[in-house]
Amino acid sequence: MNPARFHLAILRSAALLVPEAQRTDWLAEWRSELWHVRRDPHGVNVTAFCMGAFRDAFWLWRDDPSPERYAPFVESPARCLSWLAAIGAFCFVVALLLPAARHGLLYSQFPGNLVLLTSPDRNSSSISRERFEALKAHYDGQFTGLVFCAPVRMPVDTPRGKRMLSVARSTRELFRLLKIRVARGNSGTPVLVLADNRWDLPAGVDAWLIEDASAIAALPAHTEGFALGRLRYTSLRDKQFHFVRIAERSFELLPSLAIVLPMGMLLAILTSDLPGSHPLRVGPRRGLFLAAKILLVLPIVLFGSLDLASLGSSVSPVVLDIVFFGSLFAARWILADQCKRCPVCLRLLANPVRMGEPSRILLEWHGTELMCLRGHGLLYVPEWPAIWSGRQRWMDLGPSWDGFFP
Amino acid sequence: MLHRYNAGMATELKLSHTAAMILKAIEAGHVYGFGVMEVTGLPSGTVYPAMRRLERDSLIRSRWEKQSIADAEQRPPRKYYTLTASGRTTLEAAEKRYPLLAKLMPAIVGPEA
Repeated sequence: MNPARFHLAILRSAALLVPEAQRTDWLAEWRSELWHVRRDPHGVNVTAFCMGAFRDAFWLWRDDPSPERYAPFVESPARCLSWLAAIGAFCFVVALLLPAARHGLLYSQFPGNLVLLTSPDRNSSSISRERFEALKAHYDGQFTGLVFCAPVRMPVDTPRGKRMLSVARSTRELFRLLKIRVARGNSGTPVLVLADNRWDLPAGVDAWLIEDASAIAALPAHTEGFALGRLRYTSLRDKQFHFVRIAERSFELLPSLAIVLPMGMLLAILTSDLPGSHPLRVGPRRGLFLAAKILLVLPIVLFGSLDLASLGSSVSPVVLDIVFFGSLFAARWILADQCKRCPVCLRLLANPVRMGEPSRILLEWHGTELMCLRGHGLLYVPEWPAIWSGRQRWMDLGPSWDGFFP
Repeated sequence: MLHRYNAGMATELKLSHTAAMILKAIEAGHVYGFGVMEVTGLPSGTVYPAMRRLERDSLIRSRWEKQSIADAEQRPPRKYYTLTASGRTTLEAAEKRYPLLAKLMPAIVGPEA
């Protein structure tokens, strides 16, 4: 990239942080300075100079006392809760539409009832096809699906040449059992499906060969293989066979999220510097509003993170990190939002006004004053914490002020 | 009761050494950001936000150079900074606190001033 364009791109990116009213002037000043820096005979590091623009822009962004840009959406408590509910519903619908996210959500409905049937009198977990037919007749009705698969080693043509692969011969019923969709081949044509190691099946198969039931039934009676079934009920005891539950390596999403999500929120609350008595002044309405916000933000974090992590073919384990940091951010937003609301009507405070001059701090207060537009009171937020004004404080306005407010 | 602010009460100003250096550099005739950077040795990420803060506190003020002057020299117009009366008072107080400030920042003579 052309260095001049690169430096200008840095400045333009930083300018996005600058409040809109000052942006044009700010960018013009930095572009003008850049022009001179480039021609400086002392060889100044131009990129380092441009990177300083971010600090400058960030300072202006922090210093801007203008009202929050999202205020119209969340100004009243009812509108705030409605928006949160709408965003949560949207994230949920997206989660249902994304196949990986949907699987992650629904997985908990069928955990751990996939079993491998083995004979107690044998060291190996395999059984013969003849014995499989016998157990199938014996356990009729106890399983929602019962299939036989026979691993064989066979040469397969691959892009890297002919290779010997361990292939499990079975029927399409196997994939219905595992709840995996497999593309249909031509009727009667065997389909080779490469294993993705999501199921910890014995014999370490490389691929599955789906054949007609008649082809499997035609295997010699002594052919060794594995019997897989999905239990209709949670348990089944029998002396003739052992049932070994198969560890489905599918990411156990909901239990993990149930731990990480509150952890993130708790950490955010514990590390937050709750500013003053006003946000902690919990009345019944404020408490209910806070609880409702938490309840509505939880599904946003949960489903939103799931959506982001499910853009690929499966739910990425990164979802835990996204949920953790998402819950931190969400908890901090909940607290910050609570701090900016009138404790009486729960509407967002408005008309921020900077008071005092920060350079003159000796026993003098300076910071931002916000007002409830319904005249319930004023909130003072100090700019720098000091021993006499360390935290924000709320001042109720008496009835004598009513005439000033509509 | 609305918040009371009495500017007259706070005549003793508390400037950091960095802010005092920048104020002194401007007083010495380094009247734009890059000039202040060069003479103080401070990076751009320190100088510009500090100048914004000083301007917000009315210790310095800025003005854009006339377009005609910049056009004549075939360069973009620059934003210049000058001390306000309050800024001069503050700088005098800062020089008492930081006696080496004047020696660190010699006044410049030339077109920049």
